[in-house]
Amino acid sequence: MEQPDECFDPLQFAVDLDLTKSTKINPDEKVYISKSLINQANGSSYIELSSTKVTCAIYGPRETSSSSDESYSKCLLETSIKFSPFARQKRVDPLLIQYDNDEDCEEAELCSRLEEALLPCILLHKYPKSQIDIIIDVIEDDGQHLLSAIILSATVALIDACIELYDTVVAKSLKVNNSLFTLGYMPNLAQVSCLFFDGEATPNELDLLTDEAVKQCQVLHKAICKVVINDLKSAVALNRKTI
Amino acid sequence: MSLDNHEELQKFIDLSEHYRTYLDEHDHSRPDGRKFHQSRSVQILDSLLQHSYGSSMIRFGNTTVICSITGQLTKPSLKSLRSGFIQTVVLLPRTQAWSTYGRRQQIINENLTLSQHLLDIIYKSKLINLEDLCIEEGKWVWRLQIDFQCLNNDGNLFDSCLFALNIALRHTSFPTVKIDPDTQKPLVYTKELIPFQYNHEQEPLCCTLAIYEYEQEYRFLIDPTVEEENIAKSILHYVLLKNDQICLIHKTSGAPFSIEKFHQCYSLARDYILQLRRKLNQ
Repeated sequence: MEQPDECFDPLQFAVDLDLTKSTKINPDEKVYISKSLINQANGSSYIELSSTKVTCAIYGPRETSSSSDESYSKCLLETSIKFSPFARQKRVDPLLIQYDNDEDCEEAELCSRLEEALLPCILLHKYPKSQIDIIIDVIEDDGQHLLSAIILSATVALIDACIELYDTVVAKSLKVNNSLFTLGYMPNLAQVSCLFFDGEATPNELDLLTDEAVKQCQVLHKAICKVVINDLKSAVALNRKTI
Repeated sequence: MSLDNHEELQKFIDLSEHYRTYLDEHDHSRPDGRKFHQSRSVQILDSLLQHSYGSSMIRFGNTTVICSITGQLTKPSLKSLRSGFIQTVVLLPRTQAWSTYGRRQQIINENLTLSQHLLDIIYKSKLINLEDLCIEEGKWVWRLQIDFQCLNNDGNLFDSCLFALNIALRHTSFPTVKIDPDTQKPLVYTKELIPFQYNHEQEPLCCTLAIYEYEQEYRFLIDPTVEEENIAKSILHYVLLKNDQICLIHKTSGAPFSIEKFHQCYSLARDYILQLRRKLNQ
């Protein structure tokens, strides 16, 4: 069956779209965290932050094929983030390989940000000559929580894969005047692992934002702890039964 | 994957031997506790994506599939001025060796075969009438985009994709489109949603049987997991419509098969699909 040459996004022709979409802030965002849902992976997780949905799979630590000097002393981190075709309002055709689209650049940018956030917390020297692959699929993106959901899912999956960590990285994205503020925080060490902000603000405002983000990070940290502990409890209960 | 205990190690070295010993020891019950003709539990979630016109998430045991339906506007082909287009895309989970060439090619091939099968079923069963996708003859038609993203592949993808499609179609509504008489440009009213028109009568559903040789006899495993698909001699797909008519049979090569066996499989498939249809209509 033949396919048409040219397709148009229906939103191009929309007549009743309100462009002045108010950025509503709903304080009671839904958070859903689950882990160990991908069988083949060593560790995996699924995170929902309001309507952003992300899955993460971790393979490794496994032997690396790279022979660089770096890999002799510590573990290499390889990340790959992909948007599903229906992640955004505009559909991305996965069969079409484009080299000049913005989507690829964005994926690469998110990858590097994720690595920046995770590097301080993993004990990389414990796994020499090996590599850890982090594969993330973005199922849906609401424009605010994407980066924090990616970092959170990677952390939960790392815990699930039993990779040694100094602490869990919990991230929170806040939206201020069309600019995003993302903070990666390690609650037990009380350290900031990463901070991204691409807007205009005075130092005072930034302080306030950081405080707010840290407060919300602690709430998320409790949620993660709850999931992990429940999971461990059920695993212990299951083991007792088999013994 | 941990190779800590004996069982895991045996599974890693020789999967089919492990499976056979398991069946011997556990009185013909499969490793997940099912009997040969028993299916896994099904979980259904609908309308979970806000950017799509219709969507669903299905879990068959551990297999998780998301189906999303969106549409694009396009010009019809000159051959048939009233018919729209359908495209199906299946995306399997990316695994660790995604970057290596051989594995990547294999995944792409699997994706394409599955998408093509699903598209064939949609055409042959007349589930979606292409003329229903027409907005104005010769000017504008819809191009239906059906995307399947598999989050976790634990076997039986075909059944779950087709089931997800049926659920998603029930919850699909398209925006109203009118044609501007002066400029011939379409006007899309995103707030006025109308339920999507499709053939409710058909409901094609698939039954996958893994044919496994055990004690010199063919056993039919309904709703196989990915391990069972790997050790099976061949895999049989039956797609049946609502009136138990066969829409598609597909058997992979491997085991020689007599006509009686096909009949036997058909009756198994019919019972299984009857159960699925009940779940669909709950």
